[in-house]
Amino acid sequence: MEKVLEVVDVKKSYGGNLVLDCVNLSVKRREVVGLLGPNGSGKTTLLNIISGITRQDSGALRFKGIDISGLPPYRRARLGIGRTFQIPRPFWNLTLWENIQIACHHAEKGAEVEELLKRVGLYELRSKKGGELSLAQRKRLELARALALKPSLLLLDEVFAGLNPASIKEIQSLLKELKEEGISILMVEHVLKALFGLVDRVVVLHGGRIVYDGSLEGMAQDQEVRRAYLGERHITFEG
Amino acid sequence: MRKADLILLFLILLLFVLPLQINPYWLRLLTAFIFLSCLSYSHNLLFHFLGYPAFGGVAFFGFGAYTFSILYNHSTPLLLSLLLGGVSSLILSLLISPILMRLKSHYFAIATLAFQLCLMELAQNLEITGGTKGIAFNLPEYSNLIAFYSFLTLLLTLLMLTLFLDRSRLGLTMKAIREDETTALSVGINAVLYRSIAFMVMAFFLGLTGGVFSFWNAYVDASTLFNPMLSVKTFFILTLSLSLPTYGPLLWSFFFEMLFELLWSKFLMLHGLLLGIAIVLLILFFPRGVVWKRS
Repeated sequence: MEKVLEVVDVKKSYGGNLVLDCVNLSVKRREVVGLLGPNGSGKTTLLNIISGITRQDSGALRFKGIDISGLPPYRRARLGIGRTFQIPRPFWNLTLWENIQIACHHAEKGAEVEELLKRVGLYELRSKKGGELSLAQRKRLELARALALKPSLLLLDEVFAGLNPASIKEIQSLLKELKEEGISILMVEHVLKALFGLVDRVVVLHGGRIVYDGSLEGMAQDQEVRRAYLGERHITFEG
Repeated sequence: MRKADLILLFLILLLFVLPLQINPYWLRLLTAFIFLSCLSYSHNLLFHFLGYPAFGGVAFFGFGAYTFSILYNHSTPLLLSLLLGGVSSLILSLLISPILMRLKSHYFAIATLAFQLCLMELAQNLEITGGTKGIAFNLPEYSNLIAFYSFLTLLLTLLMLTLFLDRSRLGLTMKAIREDETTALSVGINAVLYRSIAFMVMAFFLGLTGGVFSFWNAYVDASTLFNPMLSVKTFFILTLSLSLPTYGPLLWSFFFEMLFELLWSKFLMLHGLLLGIAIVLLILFFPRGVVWKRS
């Protein structure tokens, strides 16, 4: 299957602190990959590097075969890399409509604002300002804004964090729909149960290195993952 | 067009005929008010739409003023001199923007202020700017009226530009950068490009304003053109206009000029002190202006 994203030997350090150490990762078309790991393992840094917010020290990034290593973030967004943030960052003083309109206008392939707002269930609130929304609504808004770019790849940073079970279920369904539409997703997540039935595989980062790349179910059996992330007590996943 | 826009347009059109009905004192006062409005609206392009406070934006005002004065003193036609004053400031901003545009918020504000002081120092020591003596020139007949109408035309242009930006997608994009630059980048907005363009447009209008100011004043020197008080006045007006960024600079410039005139004429020895107290009280009690937007 066609690779949408390839991360090749990416290294990043802040001062003397090595955050990412020769990370290699790929995401295929219509694939949902969970990016897991303990706090400080480099997950968000990796998303920032892929979206261009942070520049890697060395290594290469290819998006649909194009080398994007040196491209600024806005060029990557226009190519079709959409993202959300760990702490949602709506444009606080702009209305929901304007929040989406901004992204539609600047993407090379725009999407309809109305359709997107309806899709994430925020159409009725379109005149509200970004700062007036609840956490769950902000997360939906970010998702809609990322979709306005008509992305081939979505980078989601803890999209389920802080949400109630009903909201988690709704976003799960939406992500499954997006997958069916051909969008690839790389998602950082700590709510492991929300990934069940959604991700095709998971990648576990620890100390800036990939320590596991495989199925979500198999992860619990991996000794290094248990030691570094899950803990020694046995964990089971129920579908 | 909204009702408020039509009222404003009517008031500005009224200003076009007013000089024919008033005495020179009121003409000077009115010109001072429009001059201050031009300064405020120019700064507002960067301050309101992108959230960048160019505390030293007066640097471009001064640079344009000197360019105009030098050219006009060498028999360059008035309009061409004015235009080149604006263009010279634009070019200066183009040269300095790779450095200044790397900075944000108060770092940017301080850097522009330092830039203003550097230009002031240069102007006081260069021969071409007349050093501390400055440059004086002879003015044609009706120079006060010419200055008034030039300022008024500038104001009208700046106001139209502000209204356009406030309601256009271009303005919306700029506001998005002001709200959160990282997010703006992640939705495909080339923030550096927009910031640099807004910076240059601001510099161009400040340069033009500087040119008209020189003509109006018939004399320029560094301490007048790079006077930090001009920045204080401008940002006092812009702060009070935060909740009404399109019309606020016009209303508050009028208020400020009238207040200044009143204090100056009634309390000659104490007017500076009283003005300072008035500024402190206004900022304290109305940090976002007195006109609040309905939510």
